[in-house]
Amino acid sequence: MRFEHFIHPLPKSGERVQTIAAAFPSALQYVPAVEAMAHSLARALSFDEQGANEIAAAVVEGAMNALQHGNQKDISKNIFFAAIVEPNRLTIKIKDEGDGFDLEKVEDPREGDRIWKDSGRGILIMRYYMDSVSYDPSGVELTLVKKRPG
Amino acid sequence: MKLRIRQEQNGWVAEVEGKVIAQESVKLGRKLEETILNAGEGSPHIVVNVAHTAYLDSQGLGALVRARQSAQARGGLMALSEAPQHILRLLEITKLSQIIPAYPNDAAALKAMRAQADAEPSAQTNA
Repeated sequence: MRFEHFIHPLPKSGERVQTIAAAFPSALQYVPAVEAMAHSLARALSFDEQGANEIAAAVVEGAMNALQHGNQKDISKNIFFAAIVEPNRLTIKIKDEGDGFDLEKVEDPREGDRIWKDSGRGILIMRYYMDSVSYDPSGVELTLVKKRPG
Repeated sequence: MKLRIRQEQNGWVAEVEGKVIAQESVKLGRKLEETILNAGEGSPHIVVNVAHTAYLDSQGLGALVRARQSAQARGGLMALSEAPQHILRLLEITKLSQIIPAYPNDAAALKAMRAQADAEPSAQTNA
């Protein structure tokens, strides 16, 4: 997969950049770099420290889901990250190269004995930190949205 | 993430500083497990001090759940101390506050765990 297929259209030379895109392999050691990028971008867009931490934390959850469940930790598969900056909101897209999943089938980690599981809380945390969390119908592209301050 | 683990009279205290994400969450889980397994004689009570934890990802929360279960399986308990509002809120929305208690400081947490273990030894095997 190439960026052109994920972010379309790519900005032309001289055009004001409104989309920041990156790709990284499916390995844990790259996640902090993605987290730092999301945090720095949020601060640059005037989110306060708490807001930036919340966005970065949601990005970590999305990236970890893409890495572990989407790409099955296959380092030959990439994870694509894009941040689309608009006047009123920040949209972040995270896409993996896996087979996708059905969001409706994800069980509530708070119910019954699932409270004792050591995983399965990522989507719940993303929904807490962001204004909107959704997946495309194929379940490979996550979209996170947060209203910008001011 | 910076992690410091020290032994106190009634148990162990793990101070967790910074952002606990990805491989750092794995490291946190491994260190807590090692501490519980190597606690020696007596019940392994462990306090995780999160006063300076910027945030925990879901894997970090999972590491706390595993530590709670591991301590309990060996007759011990696990609790948080000095949790800032954002960590307490995270525990609330995940409902982990039901199984991971939080105390205002390390001494209070260790004292409460010791009292609970002395008063209700059978309660420690209910998880």
